[in-house]
Amino acid sequence: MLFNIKNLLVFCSLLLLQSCITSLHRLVTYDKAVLENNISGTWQGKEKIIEIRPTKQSELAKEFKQSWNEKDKKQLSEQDKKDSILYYEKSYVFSFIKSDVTYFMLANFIRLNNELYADIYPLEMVNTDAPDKKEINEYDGKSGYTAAHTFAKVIFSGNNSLELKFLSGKFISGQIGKGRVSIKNEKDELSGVILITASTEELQRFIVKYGRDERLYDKNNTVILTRKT
Amino acid sequence: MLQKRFWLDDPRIRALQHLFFWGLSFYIFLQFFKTGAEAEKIDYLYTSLFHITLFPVVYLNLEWLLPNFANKRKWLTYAALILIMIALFSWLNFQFFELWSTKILPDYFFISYFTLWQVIEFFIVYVVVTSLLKLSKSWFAVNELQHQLLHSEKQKVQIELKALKAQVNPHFFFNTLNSIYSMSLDKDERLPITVLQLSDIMRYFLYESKEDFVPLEKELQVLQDYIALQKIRTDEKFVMEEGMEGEVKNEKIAPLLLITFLENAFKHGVKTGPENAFIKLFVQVQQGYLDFQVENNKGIIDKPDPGEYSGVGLENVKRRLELLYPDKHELIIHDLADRFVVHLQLKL
Repeated sequence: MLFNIKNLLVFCSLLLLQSCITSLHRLVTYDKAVLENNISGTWQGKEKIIEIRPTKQSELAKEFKQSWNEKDKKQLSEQDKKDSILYYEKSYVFSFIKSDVTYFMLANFIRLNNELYADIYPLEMVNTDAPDKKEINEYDGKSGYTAAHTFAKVIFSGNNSLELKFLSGKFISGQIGKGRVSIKNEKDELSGVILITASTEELQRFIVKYGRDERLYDKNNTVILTRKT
Repeated sequence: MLQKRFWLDDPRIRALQHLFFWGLSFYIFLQFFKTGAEAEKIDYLYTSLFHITLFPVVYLNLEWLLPNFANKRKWLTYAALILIMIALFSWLNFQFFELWSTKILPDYFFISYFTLWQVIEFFIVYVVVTSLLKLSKSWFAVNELQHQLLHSEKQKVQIELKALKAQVNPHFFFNTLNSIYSMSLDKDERLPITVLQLSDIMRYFLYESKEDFVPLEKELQVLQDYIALQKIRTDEKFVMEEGMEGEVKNEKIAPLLLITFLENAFKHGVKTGPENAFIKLFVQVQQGYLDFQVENNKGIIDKPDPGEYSGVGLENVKRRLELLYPDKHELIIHDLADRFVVHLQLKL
């Protein structure tokens, strides 16, 4: 691999979850991304408060917004149009503060087999006390870092409660180790970390087929959020 | 009896060919399906399961559909059945990896790497490739058969040619010895030179004519010797006109072809003819073509004695021309009221 798997930054590890499975490729494609209005708001987790906003409304997306709004739609290339859907029009920004650093995650949602899944990946981290200190502001371009995707099943309990059931890295890695999961992956032999390298299409098929299999999730990898506002 | 090459029919070789084909197929798919850097147990299992649905399509096509429908030109039935079979087993393959594996192998997590249409495409490729391999094998068998038939036909022709050549010799010598016999009764003083000339001709007949082709020059020399022999025998009681043109060196001809015509001319013209018997011989060689013409008067009793092999010589030479110069010769025989003309054109 061109990058060090150990350096992948993922959402679930920041949420102190036990283990999540990480993927090189995204789960959501621009044509299947959905907006889930219920998810927008301020949510209380076990130890943290998490803000979830549509990217369009996010301060962080100002640059995106200007960039895309200024351009005449006709001037956008096909890839730009797809990117604008995926990163801007049909995405959400998750943010939370940890150790004086505000972490921003980008999330896309997709419905597979009549269930809602989130594809979450790191976007930025900002020093809360000194937001202009750019050196810690971006992951992109940092040597050895690439954004890895984490997937979670999203279950609403009414309007005020939300469950994010992340795919269990422990279980899936264990099954891969036992030779029971047929999905493309790469393993860092030193750390033992497994990165899923299956294509987006394969990931979607996997979720469609096994998304309802409870063995893929465990309580230690589940985040329960309660709406604050 | 025709024998095929061993690798076409030997069941062990056949089994090895199939093993090699499926081994190669397994290896290629394993490389494609493997989930990590090295192939794991799951990858071997996945590849094996993928092949399980391929086997029936390939072997039903090879062992049932091709021999019973395609080989009997029932193309529509064949096309319909092969399409149904491909669709059915592709669907089974797809369904297994998409759905049924959770029930059949609940501890394993599979997904289908292909869409149903892609699976169908793979199955079509396998059916086409294996059919072509079978056809190529059939082609080898047919080719082998053709080769052996050709060889057999060639052998047959060689045997026939030998038999025809063998018929020429006794025929000619029978006539010549008859002549010598007559000369000896007459105590003809030219008998020794006649025997000597006959000896030269015999050498040519017995030894040199064993080759498939001899120098044209040699064949023409024998004609000259034969004429000389006949002149002595008949006291030159005939008019002989000869004409030879062209360069004969480096040209070759099947032995004993021309002598038959000359022999017939003497036999039916001079021998049974009137006082003014004649023979006109014309030979021209030009640009690889031989133009041979012999003309003789018809005898008073122009039919051979009952004991002679009438017509054998001419039929013999006609058959040899067909075998040795197919589409390369033209033989025209004019059987006129007072003359007999043979005209042979030959591409040497």
